[in-house]
Amino acid sequence: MSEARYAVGVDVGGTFTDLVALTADGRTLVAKVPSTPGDQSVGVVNGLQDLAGREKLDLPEFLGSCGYLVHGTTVATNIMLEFNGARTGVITTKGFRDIIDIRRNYKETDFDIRLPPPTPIAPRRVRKAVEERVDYAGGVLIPLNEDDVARAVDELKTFDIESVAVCYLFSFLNPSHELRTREIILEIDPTMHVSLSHEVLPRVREFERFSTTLVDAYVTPGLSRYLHQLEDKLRGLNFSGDLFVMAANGGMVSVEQGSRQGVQLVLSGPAGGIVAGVEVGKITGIKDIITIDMGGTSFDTCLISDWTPTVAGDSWLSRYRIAIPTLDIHPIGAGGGSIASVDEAGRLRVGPESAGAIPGPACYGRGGHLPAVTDADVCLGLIGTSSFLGGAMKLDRDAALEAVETHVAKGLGLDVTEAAAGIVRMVNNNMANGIREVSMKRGHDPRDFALVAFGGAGPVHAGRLAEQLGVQTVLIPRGQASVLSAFGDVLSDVRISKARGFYARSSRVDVAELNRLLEATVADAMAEIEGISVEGTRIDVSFEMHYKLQTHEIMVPADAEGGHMTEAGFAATLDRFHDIHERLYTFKKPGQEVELLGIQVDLWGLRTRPSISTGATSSNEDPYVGTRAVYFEELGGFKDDTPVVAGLRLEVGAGIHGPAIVEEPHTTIVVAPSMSLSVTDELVYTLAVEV
Amino acid sequence: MKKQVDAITKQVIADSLEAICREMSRVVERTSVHPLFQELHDYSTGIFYFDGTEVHLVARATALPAHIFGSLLAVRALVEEFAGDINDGDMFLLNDPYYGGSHQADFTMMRAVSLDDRSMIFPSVRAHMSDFGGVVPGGYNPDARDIWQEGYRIPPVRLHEAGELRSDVWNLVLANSRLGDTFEGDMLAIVGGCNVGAREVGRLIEKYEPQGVANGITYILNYAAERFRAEVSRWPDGVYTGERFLDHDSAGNRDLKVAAAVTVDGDRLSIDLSGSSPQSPGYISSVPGTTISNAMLSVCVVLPDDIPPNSGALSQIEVIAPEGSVVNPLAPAPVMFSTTAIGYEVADAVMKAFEGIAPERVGEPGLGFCLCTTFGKDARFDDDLYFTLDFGSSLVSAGGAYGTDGWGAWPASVSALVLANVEMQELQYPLTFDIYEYADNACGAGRWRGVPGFFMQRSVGGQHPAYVNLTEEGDRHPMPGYVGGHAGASSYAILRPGTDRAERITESVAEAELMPGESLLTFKGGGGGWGSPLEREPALVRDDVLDGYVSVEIARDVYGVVLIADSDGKLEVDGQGTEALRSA
Repeated sequence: MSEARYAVGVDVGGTFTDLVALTADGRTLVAKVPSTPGDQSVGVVNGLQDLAGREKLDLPEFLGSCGYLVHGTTVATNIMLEFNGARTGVITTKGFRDIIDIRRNYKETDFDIRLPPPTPIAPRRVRKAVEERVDYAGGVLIPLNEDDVARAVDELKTFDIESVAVCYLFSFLNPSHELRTREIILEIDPTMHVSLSHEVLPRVREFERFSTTLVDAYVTPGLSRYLHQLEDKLRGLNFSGDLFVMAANGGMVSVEQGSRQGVQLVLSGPAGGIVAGVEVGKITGIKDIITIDMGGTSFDTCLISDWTPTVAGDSWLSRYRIAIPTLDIHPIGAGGGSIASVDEAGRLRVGPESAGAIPGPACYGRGGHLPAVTDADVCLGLIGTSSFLGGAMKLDRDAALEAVETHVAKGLGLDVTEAAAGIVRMVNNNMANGIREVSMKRGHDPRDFALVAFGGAGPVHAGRLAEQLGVQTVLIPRGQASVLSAFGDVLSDVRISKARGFYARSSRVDVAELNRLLEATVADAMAEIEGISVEGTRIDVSFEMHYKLQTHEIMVPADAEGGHMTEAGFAATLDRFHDIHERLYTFKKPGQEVELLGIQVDLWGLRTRPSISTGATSSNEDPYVGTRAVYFEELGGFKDDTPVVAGLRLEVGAGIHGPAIVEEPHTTIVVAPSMSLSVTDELVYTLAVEV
Repeated sequence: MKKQVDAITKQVIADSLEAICREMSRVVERTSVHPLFQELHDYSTGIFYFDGTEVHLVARATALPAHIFGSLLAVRALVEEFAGDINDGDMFLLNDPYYGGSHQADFTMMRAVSLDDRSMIFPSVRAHMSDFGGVVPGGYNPDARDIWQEGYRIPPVRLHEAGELRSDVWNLVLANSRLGDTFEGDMLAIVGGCNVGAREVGRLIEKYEPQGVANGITYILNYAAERFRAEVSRWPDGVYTGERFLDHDSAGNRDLKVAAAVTVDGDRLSIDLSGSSPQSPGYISSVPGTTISNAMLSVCVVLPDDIPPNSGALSQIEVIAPEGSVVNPLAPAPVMFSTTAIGYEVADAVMKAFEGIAPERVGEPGLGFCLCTTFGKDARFDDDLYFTLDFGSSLVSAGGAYGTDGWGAWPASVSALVLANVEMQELQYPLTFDIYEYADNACGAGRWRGVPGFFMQRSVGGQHPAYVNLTEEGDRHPMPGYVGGHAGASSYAILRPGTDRAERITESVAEAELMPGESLLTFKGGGGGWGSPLEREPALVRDDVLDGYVSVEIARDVYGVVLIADSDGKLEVDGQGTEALRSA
């Protein structure tokens, strides 16, 4: 390989594939090409070609000098959205073959008995039961009946099954039966993909573990094919650096790891954005932030405490439970695409229906006639008609006005401006309530946080959200907003997460035994990072704990320096559990027995950060580019001469007082009358909000 | 015009009250200790409004509907009892079935937030407590013949005075539970839920002024009322009847009847339960709070999902429950089992009546509850006393509905209950599960079939015996079918199967002793079907045969679908044979 001169992040979205290259001499290159849903790698290569062209290199020359490439891909997520994964069967403990369908009685509605079941991945005919049983302490109650396994595989093969999820009770305490089952399956058919529940999610709770394993078995074959094809293609084009993929835990993993356990990549879509959000916090020195990512079809929020994004195990996708630790990202409503309507009794609703990308809001002029939040924004002048997507797409304000007039204003007996303002108020209120609920759930008061707003519509609404939440500071990434996820991808570290089940009550914990498990787990993680070039490593250990008989665990950072636990360290960890419990749930009971349910080791492979810049040039051009009429509630209507400012022409340190609109090619910041915006750093704006 | 703009503000306030209920639920769920709350979510949160004259349910969170509709009567009892003496920051507790409660296990906690000098808002939590000091652990005592044999009664009492805990009252309540720490944790959780509700309601009042909040509440109540009346006026006028029987009352009486006559008259709806059986000596008679909740449950299932189930809609419904009957007993009849049985029989009878009104919206709303509690000592943990309420014995009831088979476990209307995992139960209790899965060939047939029946078998581990209380229902009256669908299978339990002490239970048994190694087997018949099985898509019948839910014989005899093996041995529908059989 020639000298590593580039580090590249590639993020594939529904419409565009975004690329960011950081150069060894401190420049930032950006490319945006159409995504190619049939085979995402085509768009990836097109984008790389684009980057190479900017450096006046041909593609093999460019790739030959790329040190590493980080890929955020939605392939795994899309398999779950489109249900086009592998033909998947299940082998499970006899007597427990319907755990997946019983589903702990989860239903997604309060009263609607006509809600159909989730799309079946593995209907009962391809769920085979075998004799075997491990007990709560890991002891074998019933030995594995190997003939049952062989028979199950033969039967599954009559259904053309190509992937098997092996799901046994308590396998996380004693994996021998699952391991032996894989051997037998592969003896019969070496081409079969096998996912073992204790490898996918070595944690207590069979429904969560089985469901996660089933999803893994379903997505991994297709994902693995894609990743290997992409890697082969890049290698064929002279790429010899490290290739990483973004995982849902907010770190990156090697292609090999991603292809082995595909469920890690499901829900990884927003990860890059969150990493970039943390970076924005770091630049400004603000440690506690809530990210709000509001795009055309989504509104996601994630709570980040002390620069560490919350990680949780309570995700669902396409109605399947995915319980591996993922960034704790909460979707609230449908963002700018949420459709407003008025029902027969005169009630305004915003969502849950969404205009999606096609046909999109009425103002897109793609055939949508129903008013979406974006239409209301356009009616009020919050979003301009000629600056959307860098001016690449003209918005039709008349269409927006007509949609709001016809479908909302008439029904409410309001004029079109009042109706549009009502839509915006309602959606802001819903989003603020959603954010407050997410913070409460994690034991935080949102007023102690700053918002980091991105996505095309995030900075349009962020100021008002902050007002409602009592938040004083909104940070907005500057310059790279349109490729923020790719930007985050390239800044990511390697993160190998390894969990192990370990059940003990605090008064009876055998620290020596705990250390043996920790050492083995750390060794497993280390083995996976071998061969990957990292500048340093860090080991974080955490324990899953709760008070005796509680059933929701808290992940408690453990005092285990380098992965080793001492008696004193355990006592300190236990104290920390009580304190966190009090913060989260208002009380603690130091005298009470605590149950330890599992351990988690996070091995971070830390990469040196290339230096970054926006590429924004503070030119001598006048930042004030004009005025337009913008509606501000506190001014009682439109302010016709609201200044419009080109954000990238502002110098670092410059400030703008509201009312004003600050535009970048891919986003708009609304600065309401009582707010002010300053350019804190080449990469960050700060919006100050009076509360 | 100004007034219309305010409508948006009112909606914003109403949405925020819903959000507060969700926040309260989060607090309760996350801070409670016993699995009944933690995993099963056997609790509900709501916000009530007292306008100086009447109490209204304003908002509720995803919850057990039976709880929160009933809480309306609890708040009403409270404002009657303490009329003129309720102050901001006061917290009240009650569990007395004859004083606004449902059964004593359900504690209702209510915190007062003053709105103005007339009106108040009550954030409230109702929760099923694991052990509240009854005669038997957990409180389900099939031998009870009066309410004191079930447990002690708490009429509305003041637990906090202006924010200050009255520790004498607190200690009195705590002293009566067998599960001291657990119980206290759960009490703190429901107090915490009310406190967070009060704090957030206070924030709302600060922002929008008392009058603004009151306007928001009035708006959402009126809105629901208007939507409700519009919907009812689309239904055909007439009197429609339905009935449903409960197998027994654990006191030797069988086939207890709930009769429902639903009258649609223009935009008005009334439900008359006259004709139901007289109250019974057993623990199944249902006080008005429970009866009304369950009648409302069926109405809510039938109504479009987007009508807020608040007092605006529900106060439009007149419910007549004759005194001295199983649906409105006179004190001191025992009631512990009635929240589910006869409660869900009320829901079923009302739903049956709706077959004639809105057939495409009817289906099973309830549980067909079979009680199974177990207690004993756990040798692994210093012989700690443990107590479990096991839902495995009543796990399935979801019926077919227009457009979908019954699936999962229970219907959406009972889906706030999240089942405990087998692994967690085995870690926490000295029990080993042997079977926990659907049964073969046990679906209520229909154009859309019910969820399959369900087997649970569980053996006693460790060194100590376990004691099981069982009340089985659904042997003679399994889950009903709707609109021509067939009923589900009959339920039963077997104590110590495979031993010479095996005993088949179709009614009740109290404190049956199971020695280590002995087991309990329960079978719960699944949900009923919707519509005639002869109209079921033949390909779906074939799928069911492949899945073991329907046999080739049942396919032929019940569904009129002929299946034959093709040259590869794969089952295919014989189209001609099926047509011939179905038209015969």
